[in-house]
Amino acid sequence: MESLVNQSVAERREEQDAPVALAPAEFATLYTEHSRAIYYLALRFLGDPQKAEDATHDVFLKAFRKLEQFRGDASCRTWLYRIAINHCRNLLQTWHGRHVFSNADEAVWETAVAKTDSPLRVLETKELGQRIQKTLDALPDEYRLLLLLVADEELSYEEIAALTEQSPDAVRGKLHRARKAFAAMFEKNA
Amino acid sequence: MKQQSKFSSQEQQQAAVEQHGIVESVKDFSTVEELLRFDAGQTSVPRTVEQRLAKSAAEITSPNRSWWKKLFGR
Repeated sequence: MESLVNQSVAERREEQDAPVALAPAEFATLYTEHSRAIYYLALRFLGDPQKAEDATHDVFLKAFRKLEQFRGDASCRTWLYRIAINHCRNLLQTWHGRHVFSNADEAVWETAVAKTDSPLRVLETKELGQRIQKTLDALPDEYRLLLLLVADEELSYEEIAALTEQSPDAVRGKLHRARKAFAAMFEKNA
Repeated sequence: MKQQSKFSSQEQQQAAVEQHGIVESVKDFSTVEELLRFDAGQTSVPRTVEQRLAKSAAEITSPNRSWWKKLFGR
């Protein structure tokens, strides 16, 4: 899909009287700007490259169908993340084979021993992605999602809170535990 | 007097890896987010997604869609 316009979607929207719906012609630019973020979220949240590929296709197709409904009161990326999160959660719910952590399982991670202030030292190899995936797979879905969202520098705590339907303070608290759990598991998977 | 190694542990690790014929580098990430950002930067979207999406979007917008496709979305 060829990029139809050189100017970014964000720049174009700023020039117009927001909120306005995206024109279909801007869809290619939308894909170019956000597909990596959406694919990465799907890849690491679902843990399967083929399913991530399908999910990315489905998310952008849903976005394409709903372009006229996009009112511009949220950023394009937040809007796409919302579609992606709902889509991935639905997929996870339908996979009965997957272990689903309950809130009670959070207690397991409370006791995780990890030095969160020391750097994560890794050898840059092809296996790094596998190690990250293995670590994320061991975490509760909620922790995994929060870590993936906070890694996106374009998202604020407030936006992450809105996307995950909780307060920014709750996000901060859970992120603290999620980082600790990740560091402990990452060390274990070395 | 005990001679101090002139190589840091990081350099020794690097040398050991290179001796085995694999050229790798050691990286430090101060936070989990930094590590995930690096991983995201190494990840690219498969070209097939773009191709499939272009095809799907064309099917939606095509004015020549047959009536059963319009009705059943196939």
